[in-house]
Amino acid sequence: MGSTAKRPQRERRSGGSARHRERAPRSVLARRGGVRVLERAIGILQCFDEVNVRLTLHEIAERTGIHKATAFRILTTLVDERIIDQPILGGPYELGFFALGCADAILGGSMLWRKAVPVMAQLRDELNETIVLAQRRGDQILNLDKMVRRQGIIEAPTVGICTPLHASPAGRAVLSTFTHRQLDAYFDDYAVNTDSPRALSEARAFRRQIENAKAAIADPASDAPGSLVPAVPIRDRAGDAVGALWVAIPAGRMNPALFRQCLRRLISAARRLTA
Amino acid sequence: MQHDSDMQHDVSRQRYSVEAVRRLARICRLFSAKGPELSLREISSLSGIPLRTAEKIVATLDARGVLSAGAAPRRWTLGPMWLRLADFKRSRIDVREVALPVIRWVFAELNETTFLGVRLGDRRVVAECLISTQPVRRVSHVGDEVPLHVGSSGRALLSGLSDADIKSYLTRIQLINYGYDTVTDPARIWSDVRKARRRGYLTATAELTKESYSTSAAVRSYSGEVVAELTIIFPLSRETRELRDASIRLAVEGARRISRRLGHGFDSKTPSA
Repeated sequence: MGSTAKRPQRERRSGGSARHRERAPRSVLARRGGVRVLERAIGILQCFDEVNVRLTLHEIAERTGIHKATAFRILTTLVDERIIDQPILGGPYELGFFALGCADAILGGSMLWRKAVPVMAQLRDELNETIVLAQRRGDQILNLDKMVRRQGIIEAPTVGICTPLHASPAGRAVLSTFTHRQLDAYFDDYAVNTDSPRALSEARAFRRQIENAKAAIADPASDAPGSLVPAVPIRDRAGDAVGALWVAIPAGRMNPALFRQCLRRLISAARRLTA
Repeated sequence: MQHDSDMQHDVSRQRYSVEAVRRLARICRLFSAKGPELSLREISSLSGIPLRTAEKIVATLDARGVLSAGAAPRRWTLGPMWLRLADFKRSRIDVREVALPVIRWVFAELNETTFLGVRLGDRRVVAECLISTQPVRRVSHVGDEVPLHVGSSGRALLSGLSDADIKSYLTRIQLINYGYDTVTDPARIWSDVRKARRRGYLTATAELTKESYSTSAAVRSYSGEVVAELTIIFPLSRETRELRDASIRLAVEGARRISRRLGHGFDSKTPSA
């Protein structure tokens, strides 16, 4: 690649073309720089996950595409702020306990979570499976917290992930409380907002899954067709679905009898949360 | 007096500090369980960041899931990214790995057998152990297990359970003598549980073997839950007041150090610099 191919990248990094740089006042550039550095800092935080627990400066720079010197400055500040830990000076970095403090603030501020914690613990002990609490956020559903099965082979879904309501069993449990008109409006929005040419047929397939979820929740003893992920909606006192409880079970262990057992327990737990 | 290398490190930290990142941290620290939602004006006035700058920062943080829109319009909460990162952090905390350097430190101080015990159901299991190199020593091995009411280590773990869970344990478990002088009286077990909660440590004499003395202290996680215990155990023949006191001091301090490394007592409101 010649130098002409590299130029646009260099220009993007420095906040636009030379012509625009000349025109922009210094303060605007400084602000743009501030936002860019924030995005880079967030990018660094997002390098860490269940697999990448400890990362060196080199690895972080490589993953984020940030220059090593810049990454070092950002990391130094993240360590000072205790968002990231560096147990050994010059050694690899890992997530600090700051995230746990933030998670505490989110969860402690949620009435749904405070009510659900003892119910989830009881369910986990009764079923010896992983119980997940999901919270509705408009047309999305967020896995808020989980209580993981204590022993053996577990399925431990990641919390803090938002998905559209129709795209997860917990969300479909919420959608099962919608009237036909509400569902029509939801999928109309979906068709408008999605680029997929198969939006209409996908919407039909999702509606079938929602009908199946509705039928299973209405009668846990019936043979549940389709996906075997037990999930039930949690309603507030006005009857609106505010979240869902679901059981995460590895596919190899799931069977119709266990599905029905989980569903029955979930329904009774969800009723307690509404009361 | 501050060491030269520490001073150099502080100077370089200040030189490399990035203000935008400090502001990110400052804004996130404003949220709490009691105040989970804030308006832009509150964010600006509480953090001391000018309103227009705060608006730009909040927009960036919102777009990247660090903050998200609250239930009320024009209010923000901490975003789902923190739940995800906390989940990763929590799932990768390995008590044994965190405790090993501390166990080594305790061991180096006394050269007495030191182990980390964790609860597995109704039993205490040794997860890590360093055995004394003295000619007469108390031996223990990784994987050794006893019921929770047995020995200072078991009862230190028992003390971390709720009263209802302890009651349930005492009714379902047969309290029999597992060695020489195991405590089998529920009243004594309750008394030890209260003692462990109050003092932070427990001692026991000759429970599994006739000739041993042990001191155990509970290890707590970020959330305050008892997740392990640290025990120093030695032959009664070596027991003196000095050794007893030293084992108590080291077990308590060792458990405190492990707990700190697990995030116990971590105050997310305070930056280190």
